Amino acid sequence: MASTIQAGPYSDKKGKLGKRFVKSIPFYIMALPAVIYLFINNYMPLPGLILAFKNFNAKKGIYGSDWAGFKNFKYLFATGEAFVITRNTILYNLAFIVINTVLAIIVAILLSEMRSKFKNVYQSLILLPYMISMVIVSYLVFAFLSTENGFLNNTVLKSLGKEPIAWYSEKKYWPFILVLVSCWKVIGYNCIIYLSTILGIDRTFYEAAAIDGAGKMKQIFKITLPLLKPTIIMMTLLAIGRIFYSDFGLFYQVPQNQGALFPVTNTIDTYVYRGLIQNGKPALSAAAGLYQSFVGFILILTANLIVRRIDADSALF
Amino acid sequence: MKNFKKLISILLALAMILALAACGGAPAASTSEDTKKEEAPAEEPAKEDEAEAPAEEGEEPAAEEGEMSLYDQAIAERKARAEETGEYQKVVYAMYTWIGKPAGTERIQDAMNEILRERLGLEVELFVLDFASYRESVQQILINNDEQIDWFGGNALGYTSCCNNGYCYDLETDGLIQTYGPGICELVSEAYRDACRFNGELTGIPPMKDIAIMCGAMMIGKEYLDAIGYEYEENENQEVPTTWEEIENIFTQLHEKFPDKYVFAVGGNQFGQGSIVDNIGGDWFGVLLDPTKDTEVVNLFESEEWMTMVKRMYDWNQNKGFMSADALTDTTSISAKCKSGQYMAMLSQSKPGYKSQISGECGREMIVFTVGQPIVKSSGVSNVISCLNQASPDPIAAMQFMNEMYTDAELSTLLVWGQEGTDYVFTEDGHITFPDGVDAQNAEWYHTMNWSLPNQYLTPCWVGDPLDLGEKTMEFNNSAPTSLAMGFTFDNTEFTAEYAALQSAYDEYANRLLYGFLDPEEGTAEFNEKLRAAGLDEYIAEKQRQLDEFLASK
Repeated sequence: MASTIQAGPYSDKKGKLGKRFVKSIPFYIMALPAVIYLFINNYMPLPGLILAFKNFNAKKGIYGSDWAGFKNFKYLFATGEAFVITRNTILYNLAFIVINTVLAIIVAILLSEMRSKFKNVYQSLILLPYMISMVIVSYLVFAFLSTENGFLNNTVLKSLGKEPIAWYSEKKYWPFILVLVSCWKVIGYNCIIYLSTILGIDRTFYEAAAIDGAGKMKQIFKITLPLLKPTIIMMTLLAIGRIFYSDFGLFYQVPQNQGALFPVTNTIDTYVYRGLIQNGKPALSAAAGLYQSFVGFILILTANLIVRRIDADSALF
Repeated sequence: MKNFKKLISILLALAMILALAACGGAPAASTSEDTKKEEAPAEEPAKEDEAEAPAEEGEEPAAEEGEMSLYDQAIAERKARAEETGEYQKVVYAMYTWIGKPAGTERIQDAMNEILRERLGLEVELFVLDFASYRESVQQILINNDEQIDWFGGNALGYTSCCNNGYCYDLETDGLIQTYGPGICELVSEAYRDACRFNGELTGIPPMKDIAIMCGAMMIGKEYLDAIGYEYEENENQEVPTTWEEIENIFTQLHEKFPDKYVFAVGGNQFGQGSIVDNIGGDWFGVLLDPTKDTEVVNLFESEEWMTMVKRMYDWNQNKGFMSADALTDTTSISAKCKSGQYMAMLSQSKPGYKSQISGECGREMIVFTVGQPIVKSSGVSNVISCLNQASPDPIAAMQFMNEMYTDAELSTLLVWGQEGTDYVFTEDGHITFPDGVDAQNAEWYHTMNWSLPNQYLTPCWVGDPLDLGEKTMEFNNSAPTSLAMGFTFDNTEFTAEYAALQSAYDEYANRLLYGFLDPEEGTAEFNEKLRAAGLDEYIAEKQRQLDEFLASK
């Protein structure tokens, strides 16, 4: 995708269509595998969205099932839960976008300034959590939080002389736990993206700055961050497009699907999943998926529009 | 041109977002698989033709001979096809256990196939899953049909949901069960089959099992009772009738004697198995409190029965310390908890031969104390049910396979107990037991899922079971008082939104109350408030309406 878009600025704007096309052929070829992938994975299933408007019956199949109009969407909004799940989804994602981006940039800058020979080891260690499945993460968290045998209750709180806490029944702690787990898991991956941008920055900028007497902090604020800006904007735009989605594993597995925690852990995805498993209604989850996509699309267009107003070069399109 | 480029990039962005929708975890996964299903409807008419053709022919010749020959004809055709292609028609039997796929699965499957190839010209594939993952995995397959499944346990997926989603093949399509499952028709009475109907279609068949239950059975490990020197006397059903107070007394002694173990393993369908309350329609939102006498659908969570139970559990948990503080997060099955040796007692429902079954599951001798009474609930028959996937590639083969499983002792024994010599040996008095060196912990095929398999009564009796278990069970079924709503299925298609919200509230509160982690009075009040907001009253009213209609049509 990125390569298709970047092909633009390099081609001759005043040239004829054919000439430009010929010039851009290498770029098109580079983009081809991704476009084919997109077509197969993203366009071919599109007719299936029709399921969201059907009264699904396995015997009649998707296309043969009766039409249901917007009935399948009703279940997302019909209940008081709708507010809670929408609020949770958006607020958590906003927190993740801000906190994870800031921390990832800090870690990336630290790594880039590091001159230790173990730099690669550190980098790999930070990335490691990203590779771990959420199911395993949920048990790592459980090892800390288990009421009877957990590390926190048995070791930390005990040595501090405090009463054990029933972590999985106390919802007030969970917003922090979830943000913490999310940070721990994704920072390594995000920081690699920023790190690669930083490494691409021309070192002569820094040399020139150093000669002019700029300290490390000044270099970071005047050179690194401004040059990181397009990457940050792109990553944030992508994240905003996903603001209506939640990391299912994080919200379902990590809190161990505990009813007591629903008010702070129930997001659109977990609600739909539970609904699907209990109702066994595929049409309802198709409706929810379509709704999420639609809102995500609107959001990314809006965010891009705003970015273009502020800084046209950084906008995606 | 610039606009064109813009359009392309917007389209690509849209595609990306939709891709994210498709990859966004389990719920959305079905969207991306939809394309596969395009082919499904096209195949269907062809299949129906096939099924119709032989049935029409069958109606012409005189009754019995014609039917017999149809049965044999199907086998002969399959064998001929197998000779031609070298491949036998496969029937996939999806079964569940508490322990996942036993080590001996392939061996048992091979042994069954030896018989089935010869007799029916088909092969079976035993698709064994842990009960916990069965629901998800099988449901995915039933929606996408990208893998073959023929018979599946409808109850494990939620029988009502299977009916409403149209997963089940109508077993009477062109007289399928009458023609190709005569043995089943003989064993499963008309009345029982009627209890498995949804909108007039026969959606499944119950296995030969107890349909009555002895609710409120507390199982306690014998070794622990011996350790506290508790005396008891088992009646002819190997049960010890007692009271909740006495159970509490035993638990207190056990807790003193074994402070390092947990007394009571909570989990499972605790309320359903512990009381006679009938959760008609397969959910707890609107129940019959005294189902043999009264057909008024009421809110369970405002009833005396509920409050008594949750108060007791709160007391047991918070004041007496019988339960684990991690009970809410530990989803291990209760019998597996007892098997681990960490827990001493569990609550379930009893029936003839239950002692042997539960002792097998728990890996140690359990004593069955009963505090409830016998009853047949509305879902008694469809509680455990085998359904045929509507996309089954060969319903006739599937039905003939099932017929054989209901009527053939050899096949049934293989499926239930495994192979003689390896999995079991006969004792002198005609019972069977483990061979030397094999026990419940290391057995390769000892799943104790007898009750979910077609016909357990054709098989030898395990040591500890009465030899006349089958007769005893039938007597138990017939003598227990029956719920007035027996056979009622609730069509909640119009109430999906309410149901999802109700279930969400249930998930939030029910287990915390039932396991004694939430103050009974306050918790229940909050719970009821949430349920009301989710539309409980309308839901109950609809249930009452459908029940009245059902009763009137009876």
